Amino acid sequence: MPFGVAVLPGGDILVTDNDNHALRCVSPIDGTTLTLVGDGVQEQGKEEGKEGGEAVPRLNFPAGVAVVSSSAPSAESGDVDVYIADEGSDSIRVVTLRRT
Amino acid sequence: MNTGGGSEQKEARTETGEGHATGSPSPATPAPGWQVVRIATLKPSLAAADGLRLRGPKGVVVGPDGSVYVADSGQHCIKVMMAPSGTWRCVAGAPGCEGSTDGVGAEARFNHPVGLVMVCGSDDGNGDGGSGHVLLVADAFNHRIRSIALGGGEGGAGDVVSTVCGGGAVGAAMGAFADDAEGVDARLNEPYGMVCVQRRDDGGGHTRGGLVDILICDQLNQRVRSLNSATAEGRLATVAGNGDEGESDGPAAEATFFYPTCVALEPAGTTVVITDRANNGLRRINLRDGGTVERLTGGGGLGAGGFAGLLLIISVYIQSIFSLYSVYIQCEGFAKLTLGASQTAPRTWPSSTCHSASQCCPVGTSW
Repeated sequence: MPFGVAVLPGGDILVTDNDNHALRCVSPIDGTTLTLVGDGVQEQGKEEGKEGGEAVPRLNFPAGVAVVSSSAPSAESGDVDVYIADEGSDSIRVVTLRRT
Repeated sequence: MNTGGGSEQKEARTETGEGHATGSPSPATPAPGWQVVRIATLKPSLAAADGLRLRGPKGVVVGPDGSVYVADSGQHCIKVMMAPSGTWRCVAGAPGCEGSTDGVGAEARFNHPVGLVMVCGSDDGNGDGGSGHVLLVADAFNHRIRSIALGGGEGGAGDVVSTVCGGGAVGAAMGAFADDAEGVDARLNEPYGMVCVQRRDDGGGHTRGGLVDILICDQLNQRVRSLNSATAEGRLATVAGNGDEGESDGPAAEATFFYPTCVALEPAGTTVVITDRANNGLRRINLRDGGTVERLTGGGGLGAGGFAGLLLIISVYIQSIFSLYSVYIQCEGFAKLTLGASQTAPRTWPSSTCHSASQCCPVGTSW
């Protein structure tokens, strides 16, 4: 279920897909939705007590999200930092996005 | 670990500015225009004081100086990872103790704070670490919007928590609906996400010193509300939603939502996007034409009485019950509970330190 929402420079919409453990990107024009982080599987570190054990980045019930321009001086084409309150992992995740 | 609290401050500083990539991003399809180049984790170190650790955080916002403010919903308090040191501090509330008291810093109480929005003060950019800014908090289970006048930690003026609107006397129908009312006469029912929107009649291009409205996802009232900051206590009105659970588009007074959860402002400043949680969809509200609602994507069948909606209703109520119960566990057995939390295994991701970002919080930075 969609939980948090924030808008990227230029208008693309970021949504945390809470129980899919994913960060999704939605076109503001036609609603086309693609996944930036997550593969539908909950991050398992908490349960298994391991560190750095997963091959792909995963989230754990991501909730609130905030977007800020990255501190990089190259502002126009610079990176964007996406802060996610990742409820299930008891942490804040920072996903840095770059324009392709 | 990425950050230090208390005694680990020095170690944290040595890592400042460094981040560890987590290797290739997810196998997911890249969105057009954007790629993931790094994922990092921010959290207090395991060696930090028990109360500093996060427990089910749901809200986050970044301040003008790059400090990261967190609504630690499970611990009923607001924490910050200060920039550039990376040191964590509890801004307001007492970890593990819920309540609704106003006060300074640790004297104040919250009950499952969720949404955060930062309203920049007129004196930002002077390097005083956030002083002069106001952090608004959607205090969900108190059905209130709270404000924290950020005065800084040690040596500062203190962080003063007040109630902006909602709630009312304990024992009254706190989580009800009352519209076009001010202060404690207004009623919200589990407010979640919020966003700051420039008032069009201000004529300015920025929040600072100007008039702003705070849009609030009034989740259990199935409405999006607006808090007019121009009045002394904050007048609360409805932007869209007639209160029924549903997924109808159309004029503001006819549109329906099913657990509107979070809200973000689109670049033009005249539309907002809402996560319509139990409808599994995204909705858009046009602020310029009086609040017409349209579906952006998703939705269709999973809300409005569907099984997923039922599950959500059950989970929301279980959450509420657990919250009432946990006040006894947490306040009477706080030491025991936090000892348990301290034994939680480290998370899986390599961590980085705080960004020493210096951007000002833009209008519309939401959570």
